[in-house]
Amino acid sequence: MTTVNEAVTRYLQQFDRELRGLPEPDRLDAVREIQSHLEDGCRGGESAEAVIARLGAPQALARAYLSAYHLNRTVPGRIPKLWQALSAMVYFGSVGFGGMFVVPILAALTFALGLTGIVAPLAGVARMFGAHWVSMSGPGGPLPMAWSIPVGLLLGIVGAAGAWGSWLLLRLYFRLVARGYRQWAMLASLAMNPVVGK
Amino acid sequence: MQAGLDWTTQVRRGVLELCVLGLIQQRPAYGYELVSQLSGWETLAINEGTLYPLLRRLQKEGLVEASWQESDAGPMRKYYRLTPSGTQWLERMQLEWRQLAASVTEVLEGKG
Repeated sequence: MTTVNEAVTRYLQQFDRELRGLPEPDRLDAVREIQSHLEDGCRGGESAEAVIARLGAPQALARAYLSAYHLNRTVPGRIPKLWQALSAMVYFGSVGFGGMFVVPILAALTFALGLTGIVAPLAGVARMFGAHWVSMSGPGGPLPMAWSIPVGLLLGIVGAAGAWGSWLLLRLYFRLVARGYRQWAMLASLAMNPVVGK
Repeated sequence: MQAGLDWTTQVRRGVLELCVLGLIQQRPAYGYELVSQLSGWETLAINEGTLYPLLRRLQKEGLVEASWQESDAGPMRKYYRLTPSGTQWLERMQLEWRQLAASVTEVLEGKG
């Protein structure tokens, strides 16, 4: 009898370990359900080995659970409401159209400001040490030579900060689009192929 | 014989989902019970290693919901019941299954 329990315990422990990709509550629930199944099987007069054999190796069972968990199948159980279909259309319309402008502009800004961040301090240093082809002028004519490096550095910092900001905005935009896509893709597919119930 | 077995496996995969949902609709059931019920039909006998992941997927998709219940004798059991969208999904699958079966029969009998 102890060996039977040992086999069951070992099976459940290994199954539990193999399920580590699942969120905690789902993992516990799955292990509990398999445990309940094993107990029912043994109560029904079967040997633990026989019940375990039909469940399959714990690795294989866990893999099937994980793939069932990650599988995203569209279940068109209902016709989407009009506002949902409209929202999905607005989403895809604005993303498709907006992306043409938002992405290139932010990408160009990131590049141009990033370049400024590198070039401006170098230019300031170059002017300080007599490079005449670098011109810096304020509202009252050319800036004093002594200001070259501080002004160059300041411009560089502003440029770098701007580049960093545009980069963050670009990433935020991509993240929002991706999140919205996951949310609306299913509804959109329903809107295109509404299921005529019954 | 191998080709025949593969074909049966593929056909059964979708049909078993229909049968499991059908059984759950008749009355809420737990996994061990479903295995026992389906083992009454040799062609439908489902492997436990297939059933539990299938139930998990159906639950995740919102077609069935589950609750743990005490039993008079025996362990706590996880009972599955159909959700409203599961009922709708089942009705649609049943309709499609009948149409498919009828069409296949007609094709094989040479009616066109």
